[in-house]
Amino acid sequence: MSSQALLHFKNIKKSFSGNVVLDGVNFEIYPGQVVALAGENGAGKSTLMNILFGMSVIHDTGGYEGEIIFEGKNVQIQSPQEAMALGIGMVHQEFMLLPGFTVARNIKLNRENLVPSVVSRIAGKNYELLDQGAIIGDAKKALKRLGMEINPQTTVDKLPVGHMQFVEIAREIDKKNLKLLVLDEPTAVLTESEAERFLECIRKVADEGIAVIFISHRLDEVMELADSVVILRDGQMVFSEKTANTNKHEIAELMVGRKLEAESLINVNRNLPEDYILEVSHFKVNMPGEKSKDVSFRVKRGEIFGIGGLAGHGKTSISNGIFGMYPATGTVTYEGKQLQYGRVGEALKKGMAFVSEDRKGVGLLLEEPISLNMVYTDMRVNRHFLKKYVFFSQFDSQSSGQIVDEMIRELDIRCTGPEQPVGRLSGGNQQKVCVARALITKPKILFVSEPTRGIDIGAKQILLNYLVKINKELGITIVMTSSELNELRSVCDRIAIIGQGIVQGILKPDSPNVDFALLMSGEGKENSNDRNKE
Amino acid sequence: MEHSEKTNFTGLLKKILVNNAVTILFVVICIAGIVLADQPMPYVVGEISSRLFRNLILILALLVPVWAGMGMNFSIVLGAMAAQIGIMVSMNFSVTGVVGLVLAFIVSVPLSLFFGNLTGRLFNHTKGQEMITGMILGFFAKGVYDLVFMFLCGPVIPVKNQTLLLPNGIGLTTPINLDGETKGAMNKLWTISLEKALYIILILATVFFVGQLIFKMKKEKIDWKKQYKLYIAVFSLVGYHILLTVSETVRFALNFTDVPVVTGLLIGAVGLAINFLSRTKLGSDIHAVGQSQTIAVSMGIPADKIRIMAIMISTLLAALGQLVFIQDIGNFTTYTAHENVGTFSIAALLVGGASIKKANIGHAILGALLFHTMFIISPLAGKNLFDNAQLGEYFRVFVCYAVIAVALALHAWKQIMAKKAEDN
Repeated sequence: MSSQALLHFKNIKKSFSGNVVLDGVNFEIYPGQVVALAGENGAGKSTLMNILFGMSVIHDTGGYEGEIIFEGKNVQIQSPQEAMALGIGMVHQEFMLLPGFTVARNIKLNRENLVPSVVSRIAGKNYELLDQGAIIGDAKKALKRLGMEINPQTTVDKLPVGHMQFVEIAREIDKKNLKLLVLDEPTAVLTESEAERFLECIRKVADEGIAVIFISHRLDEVMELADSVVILRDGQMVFSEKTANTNKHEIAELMVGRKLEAESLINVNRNLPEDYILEVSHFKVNMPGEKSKDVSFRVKRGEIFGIGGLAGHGKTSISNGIFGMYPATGTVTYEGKQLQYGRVGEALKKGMAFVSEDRKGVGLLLEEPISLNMVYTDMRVNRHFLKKYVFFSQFDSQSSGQIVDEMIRELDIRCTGPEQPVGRLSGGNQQKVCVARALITKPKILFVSEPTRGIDIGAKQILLNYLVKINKELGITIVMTSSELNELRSVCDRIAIIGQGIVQGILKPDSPNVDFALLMSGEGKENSNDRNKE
Repeated sequence: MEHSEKTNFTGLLKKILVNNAVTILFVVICIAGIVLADQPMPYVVGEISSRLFRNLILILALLVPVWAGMGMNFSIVLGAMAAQIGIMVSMNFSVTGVVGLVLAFIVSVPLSLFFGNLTGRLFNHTKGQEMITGMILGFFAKGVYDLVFMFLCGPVIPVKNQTLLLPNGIGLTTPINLDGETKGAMNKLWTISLEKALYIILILATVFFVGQLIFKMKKEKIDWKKQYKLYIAVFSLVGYHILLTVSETVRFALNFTDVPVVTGLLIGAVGLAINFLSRTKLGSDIHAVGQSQTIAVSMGIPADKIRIMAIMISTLLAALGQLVFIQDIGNFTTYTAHENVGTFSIAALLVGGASIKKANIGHAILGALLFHTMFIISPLAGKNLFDNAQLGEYFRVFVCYAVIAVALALHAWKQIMAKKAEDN
């Protein structure tokens, strides 16, 4: 290992409109070293990488504080092109490969080997011909360095998903000046054996003297591959240490970190009878970016059931699948009967209600007034609030007025009146309208997805309190999906953690931090399997 | 085992039928039309051949924007306008014959590149809606074009050649007739019979493939099973020869039809240029941008610039195409000649089996052949079938737009089917 650090982050700070997302990040990387960067969603990992790559989101929001020292020089990276020129390469979480091009063409994309043609002598470099032989040769060489047997002449769309990641790495290492490679959750889509080979590949890359920043939630991989670990939490660097001097449990504990006050856990010790209102088994939902593979759980009547996990691991897909928003397979049993979840509206008719995470997309009619938004679902599904004529019916604004007013008062919706268009309300008040709309249908079971996303703390508390209140007073069972673990722990009876598209385990809200963190990083598979066997 | 083979075969057949639905539909229409029209073969062959030479460059002009992921370029109308302006200029200075055509082309080059550049910039602001933007842009450009030539020519823009102007001195006359020398100047340079032309093309193709093979043989071992192109060329040559010796009518029809060699060479040159382009760095970038702009940009390819280039190339080729078209016909209606250039060329390309995502030279040639066969045959078939020529004329226009609609709908349907298959 050479004495000079390849890259040194010096006291990096960044805030988005007053909201601090990075606060004093310091660490160094040496050539040939693998540094794992760990942390929850929103801990600031992506922001740090965006700074390193000079992405426009950083410059458009006022830049950053602190220094980046690259090869001993203070650099201000203004664009991804500049980062590339310095020798920094990135493999993104989503594939950056052209499906119709061959593997070789993808590896050499925009760095093709060219030979001059008659035309190019006059008209310039753009008209030089591609040297297919050299392109394939280079691609073969790069793949060989990774120890991969992929035919460089197959098109990418015919390639198994597991191989695509390797093609991306091959593209990066084919760049002659590559000195630092950033991998953003590279093993998320790989099977276990593929992931193993992938880690071998990365080791090879590092042994060639290339430094690697490795972002991953799989702690086993971190322990196996990384030389040192850096942990971010809420924008602060809470840990930076050699891998040899730490262990999985310590990392997991530090990732989640925050201690919860015991009195804020409302529903720790409720003993509900063994009466299951909802049973989901082997549920698989094909929701882009949030696929779930095999989810099984049961929800007790009167319970608040939490669904947590990291973004992209499939937790959001479950309620969307039940409500027919995305194609799904498996069985869902509701009140002892099988639910035909494939039919849109079926769940609503059976007395279920859904507050979507996509408030503006599918949740609200932004141009319409609060009153119509609140009663719309009930009107469509249960045909309430309608004046009925022989062949058609018409919206009856008078009969709906009372309940709308009640809801506005109950939920403390800040508005000029029931006729105000929903689009003018703040995010928190819009969310309250969504909840009100779901409640007006008088559901037996309510699904809420990311109920507090993008709303302020005051509104957050009102919403959570209200959910607890309707659960206790009206006996409505609630299934709540959220990325915020603390929010789930503060109101739920039980929390299922979804990872890699399956239930990694179901925990009590007062379970230790470490357990939650380990389940989230995919370490719970064995445990849950054991539990199923019992 | 047997069962799976069977399903594979039916699956393959289904796939072929679905993928080529538009083309197959048109082959059926054309064959039915030819039978119903009951026209002498020399007439049919002659008409198809002359229309092929007239229209092919305009259709080829559409290919590059498809590669760039911009769909069918309806704005080739602007290229056609550039060509018409070129002809007006050369007529204004009374330059006739081939020189007149060359001058017209020289004038239309900067114009079409300029129009193409502006169109490309507009398209970069309306990403994903290039087709409808192109169509509306065509209508808008027509307004500007009409203003310039209907009101400004004469009073504001001096016109030297008075025969171009309307009697009151304001606006250009319509239609504009090319001078006797200019009309068909390029076509008349050198003509040979279609019979000979086909022989020459097939022999050249065979010689080319054989030559390529000999060249390869020196370097690597030849896989004889994979030389389809050579086998097809040899087979067609032999088949063609047998056909001519067997059928006197076919031989007579082909011999009766003259084809313009220079125009043919020009079309060949355009085809080669497009082929060449696809193998250059620029062509590679165009294809990359067509597949994903985000990925192309993240790899450092200037997607917006590449898209502008694609439209400029397309508009330039459209100008050349319209020039060939007009010199063949010998006149053009001043204010409307460009109107149908976009829709007709696009319909032809779609009939050839292209989609808004995929198009090649083969699609263009097959499409031109089928679409124009239908174009000639349908009025005659309509006349024979209903004893009413009007009906056939109506059918012609109806089918043109129906093709575009059906092709787009089938394209969407194919995507839905593919997605379903993927979900299962």
